[in-house]
Amino acid sequence: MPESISQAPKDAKAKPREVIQCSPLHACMIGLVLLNLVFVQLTEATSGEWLGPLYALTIASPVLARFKENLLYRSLWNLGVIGFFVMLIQHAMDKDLAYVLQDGLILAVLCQVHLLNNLHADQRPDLLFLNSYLIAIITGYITVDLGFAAAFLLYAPFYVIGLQFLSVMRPGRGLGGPVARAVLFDGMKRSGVLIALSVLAFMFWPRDFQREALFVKLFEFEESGTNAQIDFSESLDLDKTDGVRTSEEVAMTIKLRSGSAAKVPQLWRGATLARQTRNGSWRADPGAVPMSSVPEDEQWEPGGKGKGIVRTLPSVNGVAAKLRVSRVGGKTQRLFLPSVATRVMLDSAHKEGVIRASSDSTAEYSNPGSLRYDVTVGEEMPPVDLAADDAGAARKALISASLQGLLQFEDTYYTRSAIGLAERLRERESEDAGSFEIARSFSTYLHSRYRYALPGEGDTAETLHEFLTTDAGGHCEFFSSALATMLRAEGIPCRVVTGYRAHLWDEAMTTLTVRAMDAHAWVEVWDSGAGWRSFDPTPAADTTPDGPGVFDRFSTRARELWVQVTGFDGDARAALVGYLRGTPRAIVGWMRANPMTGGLLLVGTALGLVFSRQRRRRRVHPSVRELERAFKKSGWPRMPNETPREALRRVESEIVELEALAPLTRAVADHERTRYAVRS
Amino acid sequence: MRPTLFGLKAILFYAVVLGAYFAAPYVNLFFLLLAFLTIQWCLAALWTWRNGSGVEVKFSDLSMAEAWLPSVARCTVRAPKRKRFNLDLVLSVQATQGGPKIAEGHIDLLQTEARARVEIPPLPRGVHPVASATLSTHYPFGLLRRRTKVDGPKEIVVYPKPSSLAQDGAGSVADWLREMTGDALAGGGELQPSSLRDRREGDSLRSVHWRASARRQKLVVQEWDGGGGEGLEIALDRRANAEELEGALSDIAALILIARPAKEILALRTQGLSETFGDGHSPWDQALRFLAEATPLPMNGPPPPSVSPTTPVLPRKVVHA
Repeated sequence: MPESISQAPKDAKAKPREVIQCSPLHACMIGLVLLNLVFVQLTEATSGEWLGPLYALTIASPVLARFKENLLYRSLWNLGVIGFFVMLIQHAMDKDLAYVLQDGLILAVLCQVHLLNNLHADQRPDLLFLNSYLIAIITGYITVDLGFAAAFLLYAPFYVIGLQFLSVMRPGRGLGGPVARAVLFDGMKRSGVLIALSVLAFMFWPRDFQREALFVKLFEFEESGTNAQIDFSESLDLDKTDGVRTSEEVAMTIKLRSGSAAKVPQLWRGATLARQTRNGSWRADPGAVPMSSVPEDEQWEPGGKGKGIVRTLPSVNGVAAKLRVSRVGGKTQRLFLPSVATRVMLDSAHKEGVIRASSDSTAEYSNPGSLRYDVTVGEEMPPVDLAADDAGAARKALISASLQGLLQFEDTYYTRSAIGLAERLRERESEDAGSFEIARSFSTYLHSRYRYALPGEGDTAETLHEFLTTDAGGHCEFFSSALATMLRAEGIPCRVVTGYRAHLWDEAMTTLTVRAMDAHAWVEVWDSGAGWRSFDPTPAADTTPDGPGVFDRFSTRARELWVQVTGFDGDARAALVGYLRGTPRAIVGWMRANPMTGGLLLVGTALGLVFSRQRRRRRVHPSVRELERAFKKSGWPRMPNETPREALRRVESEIVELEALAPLTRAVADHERTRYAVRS
Repeated sequence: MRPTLFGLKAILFYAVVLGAYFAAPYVNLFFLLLAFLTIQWCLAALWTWRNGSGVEVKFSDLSMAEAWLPSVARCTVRAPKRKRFNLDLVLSVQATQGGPKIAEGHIDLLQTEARARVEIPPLPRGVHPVASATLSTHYPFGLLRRRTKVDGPKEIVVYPKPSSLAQDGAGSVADWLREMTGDALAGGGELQPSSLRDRREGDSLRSVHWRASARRQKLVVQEWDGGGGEGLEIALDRRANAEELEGALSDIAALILIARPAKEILALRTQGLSETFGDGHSPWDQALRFLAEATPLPMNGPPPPSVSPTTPVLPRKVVHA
């Protein structure tokens, strides 16, 4: 019977430089801190200049441990942390709240690295563990990113196994190899159980997906111009030139209730902008009648007993599809609608607010936050000639008088290149080319000749002029602004529209998922004969790679899965439950349809279970397995009921060469030591 | 089960996170992280309870301990079916002086069965009751601690620290014993002294030549031809102050520790006890236990049993010139 397996004897004093006694624990702590740094990096809240040294200090922690007793070393660390804290305070007083968040994150990971490199033998690293989870929560709140999910899947085992090593750690004693290995394997199993149960709780735990914050105001803060997140905006600012963050946070989901998936529109309008500023940016004009509207816009009218709006569009016929839109909570009040929407109905849960429709065909709901509504879209028809009849001619005259708002543009240094480009391109068109024809031509030119790039990426334009005259790339706002300027310069009424471009289609769930990073801008052109028509000059800038490679396909699928996680809501859960409920029936149905294959699978599964159960019962001690392997390798297997010693004696009597005997002798000695040695 | 200190910090942390979860608008990822933390707590309770359940502890008979020296209590720990980690064995000892003491043992990894050592700290002379024997664990996360009472030793008997037979000071035991017993041992019977040599293990006390031992400051034995008397008789008068009594008890303990391996006989006569110890007589543990429990008596207390004038009487009375 073995003596208790315990740590090294008390009088085995730890080396003075080895401050944290348990190396596996230290390794887990290094892993936790490194992953904390990865979390902060994923928020893109700070640059590599700050994180790089912290990474290095974390990895060098085992080497730095020998200096922990040195006063100068400790003083430098403490001064570093204090210095950074002072900088944080200074930023809080000088700059806006976003900087405080960035500095706060850096300070948090700096404290982690400080703890890792300065803990004494008599100090438990409790704070390091709690801090690390707090950083995971805060960064997870900011960064709804697939990278975060991957990092957290790595983080969870380090956290769980680290806690286990922490619980077995004894001050002044090391941890034996067998114990460390046993704790490690035990920890890996427990991590798996924890993660699996967490996922199950996430999928099935009932909760209010639309829950508002208790203290909304405390959590609202203005994003600074730098490192802003790509999202819907009710203005178009070309002077935001610093880096932006792309966020996979779900803004909206669009579920197909009936109709064809091919008829689900990609462009969803939020706001229209008709007033251009001097640098080529665009604004909405908050007048009583928006500049971006035309009296003959097909206006929304109340419908559905005050809980909806309806309209009739000459260019749209019938019902192409019915959609359920779920807008995730946020600050905007906008209802995002496609240009071919003919009917909007609020979900019955929204009793308190009202829909306000504008004459530019946009609509708002009075209460911000999460919202659900049904949209009916019609079949888009070829353009109708509104001037075909006498009434149409009179209407045409009326329209031209009200189009001033849609024709004004700025003639400045920033926009002159667009104006010149429009003149050159117009010369290539025929004299009687219609508005749409010209718009299509301009749009195609921009689409094919200019490069897409997000702000902050390498070689991006900072002004409209630079975008059109150099190789610098630009994002959708540059393309839209250029097209709108060019069209107005040629006397074609148009307006810039901001909203979302939806393209993530989930076949199984028949749902389009719209992320914050799908915010988009395009141009609507007015033709007196045909009404409004959309033109999108931006080249496809989908960040999801569609390449044929395995990695690309994997990456795309991973993103889709992640979007399903972050966009998970009551509908998704109901669909999942329905799917799970239907699975047994589906399996039974499949087996009935394929009795042979099904029977074979069933028998194979049963045999596998029986075999694994028997194998588990016959499980031998690892040392016995090693011993058997050694005997087999020597060519002298053990006889039945022969003890290892007896077998060794038998082999010794047969083999003369010592070299041949040595591995067997060693294996037998190891086996005896492992199984029977009394450990002190 | 109760939370550990780390567990209390973690509870506070959890409360903060929970508050932040409700204070902020709902976000799926925040819920997932909170769910992970919540499930961790639930599983911590379950797994800690499981780690400490079904464990049997059996203590071996506790041998007597010497005063002010650490000792060890050995036990066998059994836990069928699965591995257990980080088991602490704790004996709470009600020391007669200095308040309660804790004896601790630890097992990092228990696979079916193992032996463990519980380190008992130095204790003063006496019979110290063991208030409780518990098995505790806080594995796997160190958040909660489970304590289970186990069957352990009921008391720890600590006998006095044996005095050195060659000690300095006001006369050694050897001197004194020579004065008291030398003549009785020297003559009588058919024994004739032949030579002196150093005492070896197994040599009987009666063969010790005390005069020569005092001179040489080490025990030497007289080699005799022939037989002699049986064992040694000691009288102990407990009507003494505490310090004198402690000295006397230490002397007797020293004699016992010599006599026991030598399979000698020692008769002890004192108030409340008149026994002979050794092979064929009362066990030595009984003598050591008596030494552990002995307390001084007042000066007007009963005298010890009467003994022969040649029987050494403790405590030694040192007469200064």
